[in-house]
Amino acid sequence: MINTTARDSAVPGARTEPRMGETPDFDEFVAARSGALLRTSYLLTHDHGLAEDLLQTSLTKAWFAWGRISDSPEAYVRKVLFNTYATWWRRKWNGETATEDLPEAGEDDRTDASGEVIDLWSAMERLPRRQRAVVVLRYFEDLTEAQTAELLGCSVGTVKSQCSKALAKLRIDPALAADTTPDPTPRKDAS
Amino acid sequence: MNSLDDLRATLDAHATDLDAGAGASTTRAASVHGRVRVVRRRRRVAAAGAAAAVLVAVGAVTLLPTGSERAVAPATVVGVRVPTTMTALGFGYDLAAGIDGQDGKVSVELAASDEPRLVSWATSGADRGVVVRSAETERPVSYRVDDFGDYVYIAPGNDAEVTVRADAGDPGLAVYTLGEGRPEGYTKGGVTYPRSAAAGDLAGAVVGDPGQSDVSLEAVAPQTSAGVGYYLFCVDGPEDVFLELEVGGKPASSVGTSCDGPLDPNGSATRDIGFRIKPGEDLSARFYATDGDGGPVLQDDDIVLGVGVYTTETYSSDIGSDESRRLVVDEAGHRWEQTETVRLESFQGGDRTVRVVVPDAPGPVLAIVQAKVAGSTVTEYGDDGARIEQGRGNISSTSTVTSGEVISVKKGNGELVAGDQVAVTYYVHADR
Repeated sequence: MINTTARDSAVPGARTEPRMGETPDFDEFVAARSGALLRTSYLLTHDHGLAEDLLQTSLTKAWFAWGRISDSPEAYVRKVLFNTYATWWRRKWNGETATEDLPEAGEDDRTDASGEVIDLWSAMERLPRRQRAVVVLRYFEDLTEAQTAELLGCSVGTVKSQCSKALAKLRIDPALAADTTPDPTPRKDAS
Repeated sequence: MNSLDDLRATLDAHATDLDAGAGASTTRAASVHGRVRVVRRRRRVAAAGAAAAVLVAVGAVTLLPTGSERAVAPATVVGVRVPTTMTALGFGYDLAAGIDGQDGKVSVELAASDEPRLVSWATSGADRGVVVRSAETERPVSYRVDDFGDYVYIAPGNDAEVTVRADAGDPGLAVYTLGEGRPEGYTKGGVTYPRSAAAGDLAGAVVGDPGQSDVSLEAVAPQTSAGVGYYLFCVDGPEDVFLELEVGGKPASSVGTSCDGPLDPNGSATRDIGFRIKPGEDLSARFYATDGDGGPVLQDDDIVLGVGVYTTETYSSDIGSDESRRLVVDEAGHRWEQTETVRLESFQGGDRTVRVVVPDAPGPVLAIVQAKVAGSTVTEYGDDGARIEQGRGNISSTSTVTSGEVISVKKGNGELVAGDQVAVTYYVHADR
């Protein structure tokens, strides 16, 4: 539908978000924790620019909710970040850009035979986004399967199956995917 | 066989490698505040549009059509005859609606559509000066063109609010929806690969039938060609698809993506993958979708794949070179022509950040920032860095900006040194 107006209209309604300049805690949080969050974002996107974009998108959403999340903002931002990644990513292409010569005749096929050691970073780029998110949450954030499921809004069974598929594609024995994390407390890396 | 320890080490190594704390956090909060201002402004505009809709409902103004409908288009707005068609990059658009402004202003809110649209304008008086606010740019843009002499392009899948203020008199708007006209080239399934585009000359193209998840074409590099670009698209498919491109029988590209986005009718505006080539080289391509990484060819009743091959007479992957700066660019529904390049490659005194101010130009400006810098760089557009791009090594960043806007390029870790290069090339709407 097309709506038209020839005049400005005032928008009544209660303000539920902070004013600009009223968010010192928010700015302090960004300064203190955004470095660590950017690393997580980068592990998801594998692209510096997209990582920054994803993080700023998540922080912007957090800003509007700051009044009710300021007691424990990091968990909220982290959840927004992963879920934004899962949805916002849909309209973007993952992966590489090739800008050099055409592949030469006889060049090795990029697909590695099962069982060979492969470049895990490159292999992660080929994981579907949900599998990549599970890998980052389980093996970088050190979340348990239950914590991962809660953050992604899915069942523990889905986390297990996604993790198993991801590890198989990374040429890691899926049998190692069992939830062996002894300490359920997420690792806090320095920003 | 890798181990979980290998995986953890890989993740840690790449996370540590990122220059996450290299000064970026100090500007990140400012950038987020800039985004917040943009969101709040858009919410205000949307709310204003909703209020206007209520006025429409009580019968004051004709309710205007959606993108798929056709209203009885007015012959004039603010007393100016409205063209029944417009053309953008060779694609025809049909008049769908016209809106008379008052008090020197007119606005339109467009709901999201799967097809591209144009919004053009006229003024009631002899003064052609207007200021246009839209999502194309962060700042309002000043134009001084003939009535219906330029347009705002609304990309497929996007909603939009467009507001025009006239320097004198009242402005009127016209909304155009995609019509039947297509540029000469290869057309199938609603997509056209133009024979000639800023991307180069079309050497071959194929669009599959619905459900055909494996398409091929044959092409050979012309004698004058030095580069090739493969322009790929997929639509009406699953959210998680792996797309494989083979060139000359060899794997050339593999991407994981979604095929549930809107269809852009301009095939040369889709994602491209470029290579350097030699005349006579086999450019034949196979483009197919797989069910999972390395899985079998996807079985899907609806998916449509397409690939177009464009060759160019020059090619350079060295983004610091003159050859890498194209004279014309097709971007955001417009043909842009180069106006000037500003080089920022003399770094005396160990600057960490270089800035340029977008020069005066009629209408919006397309800025392509190229940096060849050891380490990471952060490119920011706008006074408050509301749009930011970060990269490492050779980077190229494109954004639509406005005169007077500041573009800054900052080295992520340390000072710029001799040998580092940054260049900004400006483009304006062609043929305006």
